[in-house]
Amino acid sequence: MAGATNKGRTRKTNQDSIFYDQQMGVGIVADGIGGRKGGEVASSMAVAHVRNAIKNSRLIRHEEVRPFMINAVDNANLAIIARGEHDPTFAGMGTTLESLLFLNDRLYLAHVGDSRTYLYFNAKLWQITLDHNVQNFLERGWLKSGSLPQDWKGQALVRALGLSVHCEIDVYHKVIKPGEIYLTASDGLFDMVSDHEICHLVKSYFNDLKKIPEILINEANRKGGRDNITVLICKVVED
Amino acid sequence: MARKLYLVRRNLETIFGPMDFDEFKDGFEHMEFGLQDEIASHCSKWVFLENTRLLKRKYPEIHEYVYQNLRTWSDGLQNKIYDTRHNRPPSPKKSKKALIFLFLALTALAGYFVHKEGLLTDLTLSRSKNFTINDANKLLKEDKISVLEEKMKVNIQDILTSNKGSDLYAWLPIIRWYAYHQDGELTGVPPQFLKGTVDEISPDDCSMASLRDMFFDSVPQWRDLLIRRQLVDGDWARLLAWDPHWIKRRIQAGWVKPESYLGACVYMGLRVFYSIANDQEFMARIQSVYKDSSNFFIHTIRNRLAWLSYIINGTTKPKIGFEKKQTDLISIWSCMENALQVADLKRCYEFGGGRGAEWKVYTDYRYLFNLVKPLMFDEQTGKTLLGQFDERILSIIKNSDPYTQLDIRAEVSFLRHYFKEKGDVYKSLQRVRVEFIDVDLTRSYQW
Repeated sequence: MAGATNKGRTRKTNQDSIFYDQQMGVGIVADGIGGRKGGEVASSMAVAHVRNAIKNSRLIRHEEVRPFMINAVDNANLAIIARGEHDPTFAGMGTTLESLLFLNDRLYLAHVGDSRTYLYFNAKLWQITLDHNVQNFLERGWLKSGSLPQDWKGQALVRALGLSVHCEIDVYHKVIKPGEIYLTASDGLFDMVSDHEICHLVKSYFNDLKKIPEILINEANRKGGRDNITVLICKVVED
Repeated sequence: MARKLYLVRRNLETIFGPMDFDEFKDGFEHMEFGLQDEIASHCSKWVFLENTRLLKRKYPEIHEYVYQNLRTWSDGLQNKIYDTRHNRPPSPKKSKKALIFLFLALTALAGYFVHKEGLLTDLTLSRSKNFTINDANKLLKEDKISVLEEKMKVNIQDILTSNKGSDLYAWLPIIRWYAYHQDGELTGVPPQFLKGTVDEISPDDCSMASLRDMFFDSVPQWRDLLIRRQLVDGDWARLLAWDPHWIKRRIQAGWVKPESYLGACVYMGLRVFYSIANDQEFMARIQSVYKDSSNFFIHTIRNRLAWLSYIINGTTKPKIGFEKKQTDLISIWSCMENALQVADLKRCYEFGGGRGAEWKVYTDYRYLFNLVKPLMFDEQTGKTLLGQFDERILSIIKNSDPYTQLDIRAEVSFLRHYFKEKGDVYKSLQRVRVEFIDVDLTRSYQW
């Protein structure tokens, strides 16, 4: 595993947070929501809550993992809301969350918001997660266009931690294979660097994966760096 | 040239792949994924397999295979059905001659009857190519069950072999209705086809024959579940543990009656236990294990299945009451599920006593889960109870049932909104309806 975070070229602070621990098999990326106060606090709270929940768990069976992860993220959500209610400085703070847990031969990925996880394999790249934004929800019929305020943009977030007591969480799972690489990033990366470019850079530095987060961050900054940028990379190797 | 690779995504939950085209074909043929799932290749948009227009544009090779496969499968089915009856595959030349002979014979026969009786036989009328899906739906809607059953009996082979792709899919609810109106299986149709894509842990085959075998094998464990209150690991035990209100609240596409696969499993299970007295082998096994208590176990499980089926399928309501204290685990569950008042819910809960830590924790969860009903329908009492229930009880309920793994986020969401809205049931239900479009918490045959 390798990861890095950077405030970008235009923002004053870094509201992204990252955690990863190869031994635990855990990687977490959170992007505090821009334009709202306390984004930095929200993202670090989300990471801390999920990290501690996993650390203190004794997960065994496959069918226990999904409800566990939903619960852990749910508790993080409630903690963020409670903090905002307790301290008006942080009222309304929010964050996205990508939480990866590698357990035996599977990956469990809890996803809320518009940060992304990609799968890279054999020089090919797929975005696994669905962005929780207005455009996607309209396309899938989960939102009716008539029900939206006129000024809502297509990329506006529909889900994030801290916005509502109820927050629906997607938990993906996949049987993993050696050679697969999972790349998790905040939107500061892929808003600047296209998927094809990301794929090309991963392919170019395939034999030195630890450099990839910094390389991708540098590329995003080179193209403008208009947001905080966080990249986490996890490669599946033969046991 | 590098081979093309795909991922398949189901329900924004399960990812299959990366796979090449051959692996995709293999997975599709074995029904590991289906039309309601999405596919994507390198740096490309996800497309639902049932979106024929977009699939044809973005992944023409996949489109051609999927819809060709659906046509070929239904063609191949004809051979399988024939094979089942005659134990050998038909030879084309021989079958053509046989068909011509049969046609001539039938024409002669028909002519004889027309001449003799002055009318067409029922056989000619029934095997009508004009029996459409609209006709079938109309008969079902008008509750003309015996007519529909007869039509399906005569036309089922035609339906399965001459419909392709999305046309076959349109027939699926009626095919399933017909299958579970019989014994839960159709000759030549794999059980996976009837089951479809179901995320909940459930038996792969809910035909009567399969469920009979499942319960037969589990006989020695009945005491562990019912009396010792152990949460036994097995499909039969989880089936008995299913919450019927959970099942009834979920709207499952591709089903009409039963309304879901889980509902079909419950109904077939009940029929197994209704016919158990005629199953000498089964009765002998039960009696050898439970001797004088045999009737108790049979009756208790049958009653549980009858209760589940009543709530889910609207079949006859069995007796579930609070006056007689029943301490076996599954009767306690039925009792709690029946309670429309919180006081009744508490009484059922207290029937259980305190033995067994795992069971106790699980019963606490089921108690809280079953609170949704009385809070929904007993508004006056609910509001006064707000002071007694602390929102911290929600920390006890996880987002899925710890035993059956049924996803209960809709019910948890209702309880959260209920506390937040200070007991406003209507508002809470409205919020849940928006968040979970496939869930209607008010659906039940109980009221």
